[in-house]
Amino acid sequence: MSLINEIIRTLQNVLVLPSFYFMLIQSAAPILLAALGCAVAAKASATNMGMEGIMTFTALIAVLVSSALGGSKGNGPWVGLVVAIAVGALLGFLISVFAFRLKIDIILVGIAMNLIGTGASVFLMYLLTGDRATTTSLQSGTLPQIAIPFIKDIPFLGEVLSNHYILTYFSYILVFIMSFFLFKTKLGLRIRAVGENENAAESVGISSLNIKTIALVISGAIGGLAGAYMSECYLAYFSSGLIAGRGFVGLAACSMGSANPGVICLCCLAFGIFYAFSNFATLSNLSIYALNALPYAVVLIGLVIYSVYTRKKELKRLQGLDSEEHSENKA
Amino acid sequence: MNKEKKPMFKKLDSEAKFSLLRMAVAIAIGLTLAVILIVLSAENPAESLKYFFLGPLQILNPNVAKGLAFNYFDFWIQSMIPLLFTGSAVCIMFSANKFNLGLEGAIMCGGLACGWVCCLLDGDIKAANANPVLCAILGLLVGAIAGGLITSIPALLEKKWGASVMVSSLMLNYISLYISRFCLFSTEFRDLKTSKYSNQWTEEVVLTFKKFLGTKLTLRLGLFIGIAVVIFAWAFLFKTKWGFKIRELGHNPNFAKYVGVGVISMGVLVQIIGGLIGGLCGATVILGNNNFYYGVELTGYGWDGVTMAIFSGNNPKKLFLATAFIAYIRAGALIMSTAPGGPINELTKIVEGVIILFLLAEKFLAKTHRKMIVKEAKEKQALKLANEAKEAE
Repeated sequence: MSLINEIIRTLQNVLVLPSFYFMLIQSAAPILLAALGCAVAAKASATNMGMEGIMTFTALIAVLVSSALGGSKGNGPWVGLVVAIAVGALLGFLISVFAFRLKIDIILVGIAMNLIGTGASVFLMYLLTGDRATTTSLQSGTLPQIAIPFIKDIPFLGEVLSNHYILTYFSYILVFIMSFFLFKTKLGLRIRAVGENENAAESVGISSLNIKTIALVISGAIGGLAGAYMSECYLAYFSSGLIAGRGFVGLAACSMGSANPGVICLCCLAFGIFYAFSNFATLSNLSIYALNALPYAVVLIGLVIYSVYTRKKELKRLQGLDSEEHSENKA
Repeated sequence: MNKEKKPMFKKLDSEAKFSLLRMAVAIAIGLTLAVILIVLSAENPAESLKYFFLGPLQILNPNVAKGLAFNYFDFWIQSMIPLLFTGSAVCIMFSANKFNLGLEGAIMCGGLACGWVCCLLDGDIKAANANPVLCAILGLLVGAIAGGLITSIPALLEKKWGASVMVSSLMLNYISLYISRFCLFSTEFRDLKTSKYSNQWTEEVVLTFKKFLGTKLTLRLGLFIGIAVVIFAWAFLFKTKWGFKIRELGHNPNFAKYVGVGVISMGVLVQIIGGLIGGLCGATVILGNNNFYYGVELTGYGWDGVTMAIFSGNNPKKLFLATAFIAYIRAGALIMSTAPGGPINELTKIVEGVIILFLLAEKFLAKTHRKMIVKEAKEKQALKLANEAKEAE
């Protein structure tokens, strides 16, 4: 109990700091991107287990391209970002080829993709920089930060909302774009149709193969965005343990938000609290390692709560169906 | 009796022949990729390739004179040990179609629990000098139990509330990692002198696991435990009532439910057994190598288990060949990377991933598959016609 008391005490101390909220927004963004990427695939009933591998590999690609073009002085980071997105899309396409055209279980493709992604990134890093652990020697630079006019002058809010990286803002805007895309466009409708019932979609002339491929390509591209975020915004370099399971946490957030962008965003912000929390370890008597484990533990607890909730809802629905039947029988 | 025995190759039908062919092609693709990567990245490709392909066979290390006391053959054996364990664990879990990926965490916690027990029994923390053999046995036991506890969490969460096994087991991996780091750095388990490792326990425990035969060969007890585990996994899956139920559950869960297999309890059982084996793996690796605990990073052995299960097609019998092959590649790569100017050994991950993909691809070489089936059918038809003609005569 003393552990929980200590966590609550520290939270009380930390929650008044604007820098905490700044950190929260910053550290929830990559999980959010990963989760949104998984969500597009999940809507087409494809689990993008390879998100971790895609993020790792694209994070390195972004750094390499950026430093090759001179880092922050030129357009390096921007080109790096674009190339990372393109490579992510390509990897997403590869997953779809192996899963749907060559008929492999998509989870196993994802596991293989993680293996290849992490292996290839360390291999490339060592080949090009001679360093096994990080690319700090490359001076790859970061994407620009933006100070929002007017808002930046508001006392507390300005410190929280202003001065983020441009990609951070974009990842939250992407929530709306994704909602619009999935629920208001033709392609989004098709993706959901294929996910709900492949055969029904086929019967009205939608090629489920093509739609799933498109979904995975989009998913991979967003994964590339998330990778670039990690190595060009969150940190200014790539290291072998940089992603640290964020792809998997994204997958978890996606399944907890039942692939709905809005709910996913809330889940990610909730996880972000604990990611950000671990950056303020000095304010508490807790071990940094215990704090590091917190986000994952919270995801686990969140998953259980979500499962209990859906199971109850399902039971209610079934009971509703039952009583409807009864009333029909009576009539 | 001898007349009934047919030559081995005749017995294979087109299906078996094709799966052999596909495996050969997949491995060939993987090895070709390895060669390309090595040639592209090594300073001295010829030497690196020699180390990669022949290194693990060298029992006598040519560099011993330079003060490097490695035994290259031992690298091979050493990399084989964890694969045997995790391969059988994943074989059992995947046979029931349970994608529990928490093996990584089970290994972590197994090693941690084992190390702690050894420290308490025979270490610096408390000077209760137990018999090293007893200490090792207790360590293995506690390690296995810890592993089983870790993988049983996702299983029970699914049983009780329907939480996704895959997601919760992935989270548990990271939780286990940080628990391990926490114990290693923030408790009395930590060794204040080195601060990198745990407190030490007596060297004798390691010596019960490592027997030196002469100066060149090391006999590792871990290998024999691993082999025993594989045999257990095979017997469990293919020779017991439970194993039959589990495989039935993996094949067709609806049918299994219909004929009265306890689908949920079987699912939980396989995951607990998988975790027990994982914990045993962690404990064996820790006890077999050093007399202190050093788990600060995820080992990756859990994912290796998935690779091994795919290679062996969920049949533990084939695990021996599969582990020997993968361990050989890894040992070769490790030897290659320790040589000056050699490429990094991470390239085996790429090779393994590529081999997995081609090994699993159902539609890969589909045309050849069809041709083989047609050829076999034609042969059978011809044989049948010939027999009919004979009978008519």
